[in-house]
Amino acid sequence: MVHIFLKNLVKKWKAGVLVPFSLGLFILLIAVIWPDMREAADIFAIILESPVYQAMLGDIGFINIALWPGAHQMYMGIMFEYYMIAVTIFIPTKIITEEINKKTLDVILSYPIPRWRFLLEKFGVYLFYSLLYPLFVMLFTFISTEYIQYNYAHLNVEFDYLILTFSMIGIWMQFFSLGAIALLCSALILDPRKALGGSATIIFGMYILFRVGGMTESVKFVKYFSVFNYMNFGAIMSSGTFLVGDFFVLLGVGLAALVGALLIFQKRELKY
Amino acid sequence: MTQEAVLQVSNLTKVYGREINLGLKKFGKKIIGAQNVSFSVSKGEIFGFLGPNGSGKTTVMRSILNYLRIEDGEISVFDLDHRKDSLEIRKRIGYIPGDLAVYDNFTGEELIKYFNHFRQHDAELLEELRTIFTVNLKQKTRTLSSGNRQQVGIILALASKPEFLILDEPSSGLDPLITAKFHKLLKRLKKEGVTIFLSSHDLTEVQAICDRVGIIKDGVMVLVEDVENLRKKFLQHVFVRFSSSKVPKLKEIKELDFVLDADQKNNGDFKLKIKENIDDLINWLKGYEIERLSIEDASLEEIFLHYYD
Repeated sequence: MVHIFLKNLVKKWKAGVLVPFSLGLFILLIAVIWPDMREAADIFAIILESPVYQAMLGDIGFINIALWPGAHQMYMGIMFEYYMIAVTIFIPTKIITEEINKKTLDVILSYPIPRWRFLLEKFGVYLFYSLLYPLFVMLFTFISTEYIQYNYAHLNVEFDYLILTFSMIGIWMQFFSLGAIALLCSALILDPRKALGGSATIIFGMYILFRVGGMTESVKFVKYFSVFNYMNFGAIMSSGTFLVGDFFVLLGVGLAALVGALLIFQKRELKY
Repeated sequence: MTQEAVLQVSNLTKVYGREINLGLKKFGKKIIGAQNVSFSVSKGEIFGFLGPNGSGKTTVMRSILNYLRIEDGEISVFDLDHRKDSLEIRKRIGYIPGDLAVYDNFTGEELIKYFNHFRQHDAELLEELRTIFTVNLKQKTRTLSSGNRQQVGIILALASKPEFLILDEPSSGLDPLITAKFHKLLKRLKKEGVTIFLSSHDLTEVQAICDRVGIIKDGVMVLVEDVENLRKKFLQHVFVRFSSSKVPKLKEIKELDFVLDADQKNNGDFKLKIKENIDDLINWLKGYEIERLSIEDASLEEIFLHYYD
């Protein structure tokens, strides 16, 4: 039975539900202000032509925010990246380090539970709650689109939910992959502060690589070392396709990091 | 060892840290956690593990539980290898860590229910534990005092009635009344065949409930002995009053091989600390006229201090 998973699912429900819910509410906020904001879209489009902005925003920078899907992509894309960086650095790292900090590992691991299973069940909780991000985004996108259609029928707003679903699968795969990397980091380091520093360096470093790689052609190659480059929200929304190759890259990286974390935690010394 | 050994530790060596020698300069530092520690605990025995903070008690206990990787030596529990068969071993043991911490957003009842999934509780013993320990199990553990949290930890470790209990300073923070009840319970569990390996600072506790004791100093096991024998064999206090005709000098007494220490009181009586063989004392006393003589066993505390002084 998955008692560790279930217990932690209940224990973490507030943060697990409220944080993705807040992201959903943000979509609603955009939907409320977008009809007025779209009038300034032309000026915005000129600003977005700047290479600095385009580098900062990546694929999102080429989007027309005068259209609702464009505005949705732009603001959601940026917000999602911020949420993802914060969540993937802190939450998976804390799976181990919180137990070390609170000194609770000694008791739980004195019971006949394989260490790898303990870790996997706790990581399962993270994966479950990170699934709520795409789900809430889809739900609130639907509500927001309906709101605009109802109140601003003349704008003829439409939204392609199939492409949104593709990009949400991509988002969840990025959560999986980055989370597994952070978990591996904490399994290797154990020390709560150092592990958090390690995870932050790797994940934020990859984000920087992704952004720098988008700036000029000469350093484009660096973004291929970043998880953020694969099944990127903006890239899927812009291309309108499911990026199969990217999916397998994220799956491979995530699985390798997860298996590594489980093996290391199973075998390593719990010295703290 | 005639009885079946539940725990067998042979030449356990654990080193913390690493030292890198680059010729002129050394980097890092090696700290010996345990060195060639060997002992065994038999079925149905209460084995006391004594030593001050940092002497290596917790290192040995955490090595048994496979939390620490040992550099050398072998550890077997129920004749099973502590690393390879760790999962099997953990089905049959109960553990209270020295620095006990339980999930602080759970109540005691929730913890009992949660841990029951991993090692089935013995309903009868659990009921008894509920009556012995006064902690409010409906309260979140973060709101409990350290003593009450310790009680929750004891309930959790004992509730499944494991065959082998590893208790790292289990009575720290408990009030004397609860401690007495806890000791009584441990003695009863021992009679029922439960093996107990406990570390303690409290020498009275060890003296009261342990069958054998091991003293660890700077990671080295300096002594493993039956508690009763230890008191008789190792150190005794001798109070002697010589008749005035012939009284030995204090300096002369102190120089005797079997005398560890000697002192002369104001009334002229001598207080001697002697080691092991009482025959030497008797032979020596034959040369004097004795008015009064009494011999007392030393307390475990004195024996302990003897090793640590």
